[in-house]
Amino acid sequence: MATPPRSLRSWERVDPEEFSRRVAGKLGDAAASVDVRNGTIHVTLPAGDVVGAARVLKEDPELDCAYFNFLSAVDWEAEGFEVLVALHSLTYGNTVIAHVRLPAESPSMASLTALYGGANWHERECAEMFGIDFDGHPNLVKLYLPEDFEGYPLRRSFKLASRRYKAWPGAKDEEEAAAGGPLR
Amino acid sequence: MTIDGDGRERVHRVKLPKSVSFLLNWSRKYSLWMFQFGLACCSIEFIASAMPKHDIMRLGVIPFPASPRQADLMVVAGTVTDKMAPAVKRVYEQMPEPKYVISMGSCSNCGGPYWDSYCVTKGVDQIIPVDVYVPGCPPRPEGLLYGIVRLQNKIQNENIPERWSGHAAKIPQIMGTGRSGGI
Amino acid sequence: MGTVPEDLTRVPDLSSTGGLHTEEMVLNVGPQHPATHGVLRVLVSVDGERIVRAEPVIGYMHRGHEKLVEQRDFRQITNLLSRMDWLSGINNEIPASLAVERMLELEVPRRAQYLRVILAELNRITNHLMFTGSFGLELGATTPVMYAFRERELIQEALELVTGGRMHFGFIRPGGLKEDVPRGFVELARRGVRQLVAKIPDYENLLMGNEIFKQRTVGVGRLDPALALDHGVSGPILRACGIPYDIRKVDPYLVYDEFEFDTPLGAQGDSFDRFWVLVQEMKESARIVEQALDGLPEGSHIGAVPKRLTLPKGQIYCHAENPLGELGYYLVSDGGNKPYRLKIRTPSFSNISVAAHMLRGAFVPDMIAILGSMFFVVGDIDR
Repeated sequence: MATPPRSLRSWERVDPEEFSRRVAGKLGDAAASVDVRNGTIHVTLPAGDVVGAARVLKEDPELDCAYFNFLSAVDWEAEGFEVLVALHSLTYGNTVIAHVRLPAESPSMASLTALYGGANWHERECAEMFGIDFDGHPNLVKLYLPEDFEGYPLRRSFKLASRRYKAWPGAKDEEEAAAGGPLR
Repeated sequence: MTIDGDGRERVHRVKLPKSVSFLLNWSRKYSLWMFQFGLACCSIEFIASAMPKHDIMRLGVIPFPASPRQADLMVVAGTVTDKMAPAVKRVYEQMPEPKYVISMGSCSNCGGPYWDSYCVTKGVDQIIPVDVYVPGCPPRPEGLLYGIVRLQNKIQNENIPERWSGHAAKIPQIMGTGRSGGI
Repeated sequence: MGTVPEDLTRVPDLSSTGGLHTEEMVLNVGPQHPATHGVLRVLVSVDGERIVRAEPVIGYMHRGHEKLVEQRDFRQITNLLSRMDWLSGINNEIPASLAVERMLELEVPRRAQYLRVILAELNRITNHLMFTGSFGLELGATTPVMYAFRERELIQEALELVTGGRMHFGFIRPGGLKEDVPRGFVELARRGVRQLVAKIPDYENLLMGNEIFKQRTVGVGRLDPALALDHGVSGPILRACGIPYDIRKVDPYLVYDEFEFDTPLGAQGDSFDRFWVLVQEMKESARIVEQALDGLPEGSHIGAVPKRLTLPKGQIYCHAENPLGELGYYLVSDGGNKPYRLKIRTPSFSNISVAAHMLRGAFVPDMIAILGSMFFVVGDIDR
């Protein structure tokens, strides 16, 4: 094993506010905004250079976000997609979540697989669930769904067939009962 | 009785003496080789039923066969997804006759809590014929034991000539390919 | 006949072909296989006895949790979420309730927090007992699983007394618990935990003291810590590599910071270390349960919760230490009574994504030892 990553050698907990200042300082213009919500640092990145910013987060010794937590997306319908990349800095005890806005039509982003090996499966899942293309991914094939599955299930526009035909019988509120089933 | 190619009913001439059919059924019901097809959570309760506290082996269900080709009973325990459905069908087809299926748990009975999912087969009876349904989410090991006892009663009361001759007609057709969603 | 041709007198060694034409064979393990925990399929390319390439194929238990929870309100989602990692029902429900409580800033009574910890740790013990038994079974030892289930049944009795369920509990609600614990729970829980602690030396001797077990697991399936971090590995598997990442210590939730317990760490990250960490963690969980039962405060089992749970607009990431690793829920709320989007970050998904690297170069018989020691639940991988 080569030099073990910083995370293995010593841990020094840093307050989230202080860590967010460090992140903002290191990323500079690369980040559109950095703020702390509920103890996690949220960074908004433009879609152009996600890999560069992620590289700073991972390789800078004062940030050391070497732990790849997850990558997923949120479908905001007309406003497009929001890709989330969650990283932990075990050395400094903080979580950084990067938000990347993508357009609703043909959303595409650079792949993080060169930087984090763990991004491989997460990006495959995101691609098949939302239809987001990850440029540079070695093997962007379906992960969960059968080969012949059509559609992108986690998009809001994908409606569950069973609910179209049969509303959930246990409607909880008067509004739902009056509307003849769940409101969403 | 079976329906022949022209749609007429034919009554069977073959009659097994009661003692012979009793003996055959009795020996079959107490020596079920159960193929473990544990898919999901129900498989844990299935394993628990094989453990010393609930002990499925006292019902004659031993030993666990190494392959489906030696099994009589398949217990489908857990959710059957659309991706897994062809494998379930293939395993069922590998089992030699006479074979029985117990559907354990609400996922394999009818889709269960995943009734509205886009990739779950709503009930394993859409693919293979089921003899006994054990409800529960998951059913208690005692529930599975009761299901096996019910199956044993069913086997005891089986009419062997009818089973062997008309069997092909009893397998239900596959209802839907299981692709539900994405309309 | 004449003399034997020269080729046949030479014994071919493992790495050279020595004139023999060898081909890789693709071996399909699963999805139905007695030794893979559930429906995991591994496509393995072997060259003789060595694995050249291994690719886990997942998705045979994909049920669409993330889509389904968008159709259910915040109390109903706990029932579905409990069924992902089906061995740790309580632990799956806890971060979901925590996320709602943090967004609504709900007050949870101390008694409820203590009881949640007790139930979570009892569940952790049942989860670890399952893997203790099944790992032995996969390596050929049929007795440990019987012992493990004996203890497991005792603890499940305690859980059943409280929640009514043996596996899927549906007991953790935003604000506390569904009900208070009945009379007799404290004694039953204590009895289960004490019996477990008394019997753990049996597991250690039966398995870890067994020469065959040691030969099959020591040095087998070593996981490089840097690779583990890269892939987001968590839980006992990460701690077996020597990285002390335990969310109960690093980012305490509920009342874990009030209890004393250690974090067992492995040295080499091989199968033996992973198993060792699992068994030690059971002892630590038993310690936590005893401390919590001793200090159980009086009070209410649930705080003041509005009848209709509507969350404000916003996003929150809430994580907890599941028995198998880090379980995280990224909750996006749009102001309604149902989640707009719930991203479920499951431990087994990340843990198995590194399996391809671990299996490369291993022998075929070691494949089961490695996969068995990865402690995954397929429902957790596929959701």
